[in-house]
Amino acid sequence: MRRLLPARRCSPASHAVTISMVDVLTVLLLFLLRAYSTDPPASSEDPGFELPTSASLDPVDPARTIEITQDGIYMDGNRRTSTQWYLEHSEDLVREIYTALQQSPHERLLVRADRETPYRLVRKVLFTAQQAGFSDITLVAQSRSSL
Amino acid sequence: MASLLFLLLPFLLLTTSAQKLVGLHMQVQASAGGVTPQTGEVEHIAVVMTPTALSIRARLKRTDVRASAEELEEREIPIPATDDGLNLLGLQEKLRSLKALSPLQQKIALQPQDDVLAHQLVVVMDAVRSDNQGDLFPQVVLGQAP
Repeated sequence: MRRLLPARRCSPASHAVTISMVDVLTVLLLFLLRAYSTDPPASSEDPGFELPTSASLDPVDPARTIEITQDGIYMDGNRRTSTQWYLEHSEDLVREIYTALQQSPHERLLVRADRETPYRLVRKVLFTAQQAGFSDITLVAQSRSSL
Repeated sequence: MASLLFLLLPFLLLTTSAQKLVGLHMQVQASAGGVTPQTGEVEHIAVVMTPTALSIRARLKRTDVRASAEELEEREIPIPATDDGLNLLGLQEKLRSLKALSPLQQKIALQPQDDVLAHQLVVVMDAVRSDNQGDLFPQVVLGQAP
């Protein structure tokens, strides 16, 4: 019996192209699985905000977050005060976040500081969190393996 | 197989982020206390940090046969900066030798000056936690430079 449709034959050249394309896609997939993350991106109100880069591999679990940008100090996304005042004055306790932190002590706290933030300001935020009863504090950074 | 990969790629690109976040867990130094003593010859280690230089301050038990068991000596080890900036390899080398004296010691105090920037702090925190041979002092206690 005659076949209605001729059998499709793959030429050796097109077979080789398919195999190499699958290889490329597999490598791309592995790269994406390694470099990408399911964490929400570290978006900030300050467009110039950039996290420091770290070699650490420890993941970040969700928790209350304090963000220190060049412009202001934010808590859970809401601006609480300006950074300039605390850079210019010697007061160690950041009162604007102290009261809010006191309402939920003994929880975990994430601190996200812009890479150009002076330690003077980071120290004041850490001191305030400690005074409010937080002992489990994590500094958030961007992994070196990020794209 | 190729079609499955083609389906997986856009799915991954849509549901994930290119920015991977990591956490550096730390403790804040209490105003009155310091790093609690651990077993071994090293009682306390602190890294004092300026924007351009590092130094280690270690409190060691005296090993001299004439010294009493509780006698301690303070040692300051400066780490000169390199042309590239902070000498992290030099710091890790000295910390590794201190770790060899007290392998159970996990804590280290990091005492940056006020003008140290956050990215410099993170780089030094990474350096004191581990080197290419493994863990150094994974528990970092942040304080203030004297």
